[in-house]
Amino acid sequence: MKEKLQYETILKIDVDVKMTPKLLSDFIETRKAILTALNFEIRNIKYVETRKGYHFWFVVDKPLQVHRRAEIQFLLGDDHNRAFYNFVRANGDSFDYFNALFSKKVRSDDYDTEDKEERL
Amino acid sequence: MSKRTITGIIDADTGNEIIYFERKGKPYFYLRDKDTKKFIKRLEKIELRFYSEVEYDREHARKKNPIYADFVALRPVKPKEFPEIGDIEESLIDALDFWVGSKFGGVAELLEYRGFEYGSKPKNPIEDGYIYFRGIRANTKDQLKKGEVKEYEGETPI
Repeated sequence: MKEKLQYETILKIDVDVKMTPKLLSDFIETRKAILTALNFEIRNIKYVETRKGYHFWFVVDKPLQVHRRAEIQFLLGDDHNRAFYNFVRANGDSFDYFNALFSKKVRSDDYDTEDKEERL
Repeated sequence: MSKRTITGIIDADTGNEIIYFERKGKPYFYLRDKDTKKFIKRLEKIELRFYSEVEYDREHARKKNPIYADFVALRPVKPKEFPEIGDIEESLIDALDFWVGSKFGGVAELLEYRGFEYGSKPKNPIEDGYIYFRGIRANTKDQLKKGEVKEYEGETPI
């Protein structure tokens, strides 16, 4: 990641399942196996724990077109509902606007913070 | 030597850290590797995005008009503005609600999933000083499946 950032190489995954450390490690290893099977080299992996599960960022060696990014995020286990909508967004022009991983969620009826802000 | 206070936020675009600090009275944003803590690059600004989505489940859709919609309001935030980030967040919520309300009427009250993103990659296609809005909407699940969504955009001065 020291070289120039290429955002088109970054895959964003939302998993709404809490995992044990062993399962989390297995999850990451199996994601690596999926990417390797798809002929990608993995440059970097980041994740943060959220209220419901985890957000992952997988950085691969080559930039990807929007629709392929949506497909690979699905193959990596991205939340299926989110994946469905991402395919719709990828068919239009709005994938990059709405391929979101919230830093903070808020309730719809007021501005109470639902998730703790992920400050460091 | 005084201790420097660093505020960090996860960068939704990379999974790294956007850090904010002041040095000699001047505020800065930097992108920093979350794990190694090495600096990646200085950021002139970050982008704050507020999302609202509407999605009726099947039960709801039988009773009312099914609809699916995504909306986002986004704006740049410069380091000097960061101490007021709470106010900026609230103003973005108000701006999006006003835009959606004025454009789509009753849809505004249906917005269910809402959240903020802080990002290092600017998506805003317009010049600084504006909030940029974008939305997509399908009136039926069938339209959505076929990709027959309408896309909308707009802007307003900050």
